[in-house]
Amino acid sequence: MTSKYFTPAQLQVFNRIGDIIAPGDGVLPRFSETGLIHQIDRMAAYIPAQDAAGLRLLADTLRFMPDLAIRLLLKITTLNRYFPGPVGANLRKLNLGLKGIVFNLYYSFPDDPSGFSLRIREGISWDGAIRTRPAEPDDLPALVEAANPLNRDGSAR
Amino acid sequence: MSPDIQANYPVIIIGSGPSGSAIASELTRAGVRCLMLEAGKYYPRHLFPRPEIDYYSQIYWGGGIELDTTARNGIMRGKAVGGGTLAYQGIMYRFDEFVYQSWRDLSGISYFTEEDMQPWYDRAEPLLHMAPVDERYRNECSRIFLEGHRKLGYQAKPELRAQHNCQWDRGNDCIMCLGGCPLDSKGSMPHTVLKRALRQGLHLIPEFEVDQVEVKAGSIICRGRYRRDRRMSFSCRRLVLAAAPLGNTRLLLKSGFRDRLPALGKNFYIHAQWFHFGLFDQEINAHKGPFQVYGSQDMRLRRKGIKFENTFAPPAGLAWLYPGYGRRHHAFMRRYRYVSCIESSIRSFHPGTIRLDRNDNLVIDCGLTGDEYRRTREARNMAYQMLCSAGAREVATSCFSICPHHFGGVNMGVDGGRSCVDPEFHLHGFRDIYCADSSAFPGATGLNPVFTILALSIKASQQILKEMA
Ligand SMILES: Cc1cc2nc3c(=O)[nH]c(=O)nc-3n(C[C@H](O)[C@H](O)[C@H](O)COP(=O)(O)OP(=O)(O)OC[C@H]3O[C@@H](n4cnc5c(N)ncnc54)[C@H](O)[C@@H]3O)c2cc1C
Repeated sequence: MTSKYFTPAQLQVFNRIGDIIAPGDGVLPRFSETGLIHQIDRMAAYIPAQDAAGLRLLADTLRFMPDLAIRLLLKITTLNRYFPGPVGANLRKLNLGLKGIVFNLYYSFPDDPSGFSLRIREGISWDGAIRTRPAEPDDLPALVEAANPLNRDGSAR
Repeated sequence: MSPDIQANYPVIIIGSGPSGSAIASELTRAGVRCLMLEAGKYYPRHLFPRPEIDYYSQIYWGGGIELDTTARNGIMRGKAVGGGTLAYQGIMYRFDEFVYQSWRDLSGISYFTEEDMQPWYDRAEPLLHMAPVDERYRNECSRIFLEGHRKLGYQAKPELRAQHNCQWDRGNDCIMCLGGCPLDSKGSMPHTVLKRALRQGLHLIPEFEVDQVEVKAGSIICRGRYRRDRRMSFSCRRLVLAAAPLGNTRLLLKSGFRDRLPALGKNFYIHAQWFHFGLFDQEINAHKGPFQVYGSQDMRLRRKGIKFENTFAPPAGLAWLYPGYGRRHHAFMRRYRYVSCIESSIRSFHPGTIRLDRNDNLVIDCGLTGDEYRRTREARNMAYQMLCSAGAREVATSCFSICPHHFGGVNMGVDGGRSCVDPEFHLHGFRDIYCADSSAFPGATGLNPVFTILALSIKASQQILKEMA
């Protein structure tokens, strides 16, 4: 699957960043190995346009840098408290943004035919669940539908 | 009616959270024709976005969180039919004299007393099913929380929660309902207060983001986009703003109200919530059963603007909050079931600001000062003591605070120079525009706000009805 928001080269950079953030440990897989980066549009479709543009710029900038440089950059983002004002704020933003992408894909367990999501889920023994179903039928969708004076295309009903 | 106006209503309500829902319910009950415009989608209970990544992206503004200018605080605000209550925990508080005293001081409004507000809470209470969680269901994380408070000599009590029939004995985990409760057990607005309004004839357009409000002689026009690209306008005689602090402020700033409302966007407050994690040798299973069952209820803590909550996060959220990355981070996540958590909620006493940049993007300054950060450290140390006294062998604090409670921006007060909404809920100088949601709060509260938003909104509805009569 390709992304509507990022080029394959940009996704490649996110995979390299992902491998530093989630390198795997024998039980948990390495980020790039999971292929979960291809589900990035699940979040990219909703982030503000300027944040997506910032991520594209970052990926293009890092593309030709060696892994060591990316590792160093990530390390610097964790030292944000030593940088005052906007510099510290931007480092924090970068740190949270990159961790957000990687960990949201990695630990959300989206459907994934290759089975890596399941492996991660089992690796942390996650078993949160809702095991029952509501007894009452749901009459709300019909009420909401009937309350809308517009059709889906915006024309008046 | 001009040709670009789709339809005209006596009342339009912008936003479908507790305030919009309560006002819609009261007005439609009195037979008033109302239209509610909501930027977010309607999710039927069987279609709530499920993996964590999807619900953060879809039911919150900004794709999950919106960072403030320091990037230390992440504002979480709901974007869906039901507003923040799709995700909320249903914790209910009647504010007491301690909060109302500070509100009277900030606003000059004399009815902010326990006594004067009581009838409005009494009217709001039957709208939701409220009860504390039965002690039988408390999990190990709750036990550690309670025990920790006892050791430090602070009071903690069961929270009053808007929920019923959660069936924990049949293996249900409330943590799954952070993206919407598929059982309708949580007292979210869509299947409680809003449902009443719909049954009483409310018109509701989901996925309609209002981006301009224009006041013309005798009518108010709301312009916006339906389903992202269809531009449309509706007009009304009276407008209710219920789009919460960031939504209302942005809309009014974009619509040029700043000239008439000098305080617009100025008095913005938050509760900065930090997660303190303790790693134990034995399984805690903080994600099982009900969570956020207890809260600190101690005047000494409240005076310091600190509240502890017995909360937790699902895996992706926890991984994001926990500091660091790499193998050590993996090692922590592998021990997910061994983690206990205490959250400290720090009430901001110093006002921040909300403004727009050149591209009309929100710029949020939470206004936190050394005082707030000092109290944050104090609360962190207390949480560590509680966790360590229960046997935690490692402790850590989240790398940023989340802020699900935010207030002001369009604050109430008697002085039109220092506030935006008068005691009768009109925008100063605009008799036909009302606001009673969290953006109208004169300050932060230190307590969970929804019960009071409902009470205040019911009070505002009576005012609107009186004026319509
Ligand atoms: C995870 C979480 C847990 C929480 N737990 C609790 C709790 O246990 N107890 C408690 O008391 N509080 C809790 N809260 C806080 C509570 O949900 C909010 O304070 C409350 O929902 C605010 O109500 P409101 O009516 O002011 O606005 P909201 O509920 O925020 O509703 C405003 C609505 O307006 C819409 N809107 C905004 N701008 C526009 C626009 N331009 N056009 C059209 N629509 C617009 C938004 O999409 C939103 O749906 C929690 C919040 C979160 C996020």
